[in-house]
Amino acid sequence: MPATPATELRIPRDPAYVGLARLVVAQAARLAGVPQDRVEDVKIAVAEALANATGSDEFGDRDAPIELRFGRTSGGFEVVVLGLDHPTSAVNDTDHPGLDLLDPKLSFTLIEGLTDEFSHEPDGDLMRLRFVVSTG
Amino acid sequence: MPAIRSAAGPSKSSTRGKIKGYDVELTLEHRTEGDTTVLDVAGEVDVYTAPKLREKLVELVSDGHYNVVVDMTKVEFLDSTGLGVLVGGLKRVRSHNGSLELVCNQERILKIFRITGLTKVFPIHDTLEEALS
Repeated sequence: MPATPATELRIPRDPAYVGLARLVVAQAARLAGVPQDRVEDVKIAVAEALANATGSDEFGDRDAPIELRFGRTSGGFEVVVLGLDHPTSAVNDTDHPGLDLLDPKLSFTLIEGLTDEFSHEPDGDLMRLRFVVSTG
Repeated sequence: MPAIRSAAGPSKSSTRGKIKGYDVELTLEHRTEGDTTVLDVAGEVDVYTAPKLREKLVELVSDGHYNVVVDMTKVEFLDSTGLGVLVGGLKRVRSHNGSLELVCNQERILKIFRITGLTKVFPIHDTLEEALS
């Protein structure tokens, strides 16, 4: 069993690609043996991880893609997302009038509630996020 | 409170994105049932499609539809961006002394409302009949 997730996906910082990332990671979770009801949790957790980074064209000042690493590890099905904006600085209603956004930390609440392990840490001036869903 | 009594026909709009064969679609259709406007939402509500739902709710409120039932029985996916849009819609109708209620019977969607505590904010019904009664 690999110690780190083996599959990598890079997507543009564009909301249109969040669905694609959901689809790919969900299929990888199925292949890894995650039960179907938990695959739904994985899909939502991926969407929440990416939502703050792709929620508006106004985030387009960063050119670098967002990177997802995922796969079965000794801990279960693990997803690591790199290149994310910090949610507290990334989103507020004034900056993004096109959406009625809740507290961006709500995304973290959701990921925490849907997964078995969740952590996030600074990665330079960006953020790295990791979650694990049990395959058992 | 203004009431919408005209029996206008269903109004339908959709947004669709396509990335190399992968479709993302959100279909929105509204109709009036007595004093209530029913907004049928079908498809995926995420960071890409949620602005379309927001536009629709803003349009409905601007047109005087202050008592809204959002039927989510055909929603296949919902994330916090969608929740934010629904909360925004609720604020808008409440500013006109209106209401926004939801129809949702899918456990995977209800779970999102429970985790975020929004089951205490929105009246959520199992069926449209129950919401309209």
